[in-house]
Amino acid sequence: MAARSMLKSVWTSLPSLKLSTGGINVGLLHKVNVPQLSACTIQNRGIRQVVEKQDGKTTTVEGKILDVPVGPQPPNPTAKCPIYRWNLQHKYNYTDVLLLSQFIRSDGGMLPRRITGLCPEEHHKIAICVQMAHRAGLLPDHKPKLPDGHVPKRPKPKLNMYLTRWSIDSVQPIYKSGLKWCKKRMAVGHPALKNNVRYGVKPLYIKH
Amino acid sequence: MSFPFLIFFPQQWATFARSWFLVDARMQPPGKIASMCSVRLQGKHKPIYHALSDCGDHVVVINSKHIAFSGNKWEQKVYSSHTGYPGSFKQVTAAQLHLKDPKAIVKLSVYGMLPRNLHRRTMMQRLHIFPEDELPDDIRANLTEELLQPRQIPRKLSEYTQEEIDAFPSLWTPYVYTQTFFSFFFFLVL
Amino acid sequence: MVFLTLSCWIRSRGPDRYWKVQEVLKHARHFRGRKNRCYSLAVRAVRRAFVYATKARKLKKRSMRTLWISRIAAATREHSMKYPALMHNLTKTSVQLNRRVISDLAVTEPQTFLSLAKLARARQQEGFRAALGDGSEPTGVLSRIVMLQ
Repeated sequence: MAARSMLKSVWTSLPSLKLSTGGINVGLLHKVNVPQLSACTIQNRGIRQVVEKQDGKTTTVEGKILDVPVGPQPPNPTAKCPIYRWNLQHKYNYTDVLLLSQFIRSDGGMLPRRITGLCPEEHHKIAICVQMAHRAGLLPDHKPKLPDGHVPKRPKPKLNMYLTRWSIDSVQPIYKSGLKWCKKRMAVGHPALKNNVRYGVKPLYIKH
Repeated sequence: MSFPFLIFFPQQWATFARSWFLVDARMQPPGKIASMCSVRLQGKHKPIYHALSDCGDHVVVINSKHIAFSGNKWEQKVYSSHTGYPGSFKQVTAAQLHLKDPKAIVKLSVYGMLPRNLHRRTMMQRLHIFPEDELPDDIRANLTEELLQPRQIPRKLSEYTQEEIDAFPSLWTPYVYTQTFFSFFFFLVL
Repeated sequence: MVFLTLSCWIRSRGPDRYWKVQEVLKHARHFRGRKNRCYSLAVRAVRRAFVYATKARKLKKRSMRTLWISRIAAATREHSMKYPALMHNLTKTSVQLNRRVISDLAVTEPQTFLSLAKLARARQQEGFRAALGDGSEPTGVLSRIVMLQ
């Protein structure tokens, strides 16, 4: 048995032969072939579509590379980070949902950085903006649906907010705001977005 | 009696007439709404302004239930009150106050922005707040002008049309691992 | 006191103290409470009032200026400009009207004020074009020659 598993590991390390080994393992009722990545692969960019093909007891999952029509080209194509490639650093905020929606999964979470290729700073800023956009209700609601016929005992009030830095219900009310010259302030926006381009002479206040 | 006055002083009458302004507070910060209202209530938007001449206008605020606070002010902001009796110091957060009375936050913020004198209550009587956008007919008949909203409401993702979404350039495409060089590698191993 | 003749009665008009008190009370007659009839209270209140009046003669200039400014600001907003922009551009165009005159114009002659606002607006646009660099400045503008600053 040990030799068998050893052999199998050798076989699976060679992914090109993996497809031909499908018939060997008869003990499994349902077998899924997933093309594996080897050490010597080439990275290039494209979008894949997952295609599931069922052939008797064998299910083949394949990622087909889609042909995407070429859109407008970035002004700075040599940069690593997509934000720098389009010269968008310090130019986006929580209201730019068309930009933010490209960096989130279908359930509302952030896509990982190794896939999007964002640099750490821009990834952090986009994560902040996505959070603020969610709290402002600009992105679609991703909450799981309540079961049918369920009526919540105390329905949550729908309160409009924007530039919300901390998550809702995680902050305490400021009952004692302190003396006039050292007041406890309420945070509005996020200091990471402090260097954003502003058109106008008004200074930015992030402590109200 | 009033007929000759109507002929000779129509401009005078029009100058001192009270106009009615409409403000839509949907998705607006209450402080900005209040600063617009307090200017109109005091009459500071007229060239004939004087503090004693009582030349303020009426302001109607609708949709006061749908105001928006920036930051976490719904939980952090606290409204305090004291009636003067012992033990009557009350502190409620903005969310609690808003649930209890959807007009209160706008009203308090306007009241705080008016000058502290004997005209303050008179000016507050000319402020009409409605939680929704339904108005009584007598007030609707008086309205003369609608004021612009101070904050531009950002569009939701669902409010963009498909053409606009398609027209936005896709900023990035994911990495795809292709195995074109694999056969070469395979022969090397052998 | 005996008045033998009418002329004697007119000549002696009572004690000096009475007249001194009346001099003070004359300024206190419109005060509220006992201050308008009791000398010892009135004299303090009158002195206080005179001090206020002296200070107010200086304060009046300040408060009048704020009133003019708020009136001009209100009238400027009607023409979709702001007060600082209007005043700055009027000085740039060598309009030597002070705030009292401009506020009077805004109240009594709105058309004149409108033309002033248009003048300031035109100067502002010229300044913007010059700052951007592409707009060539129009020649032959008299107000540009007489620069005060």
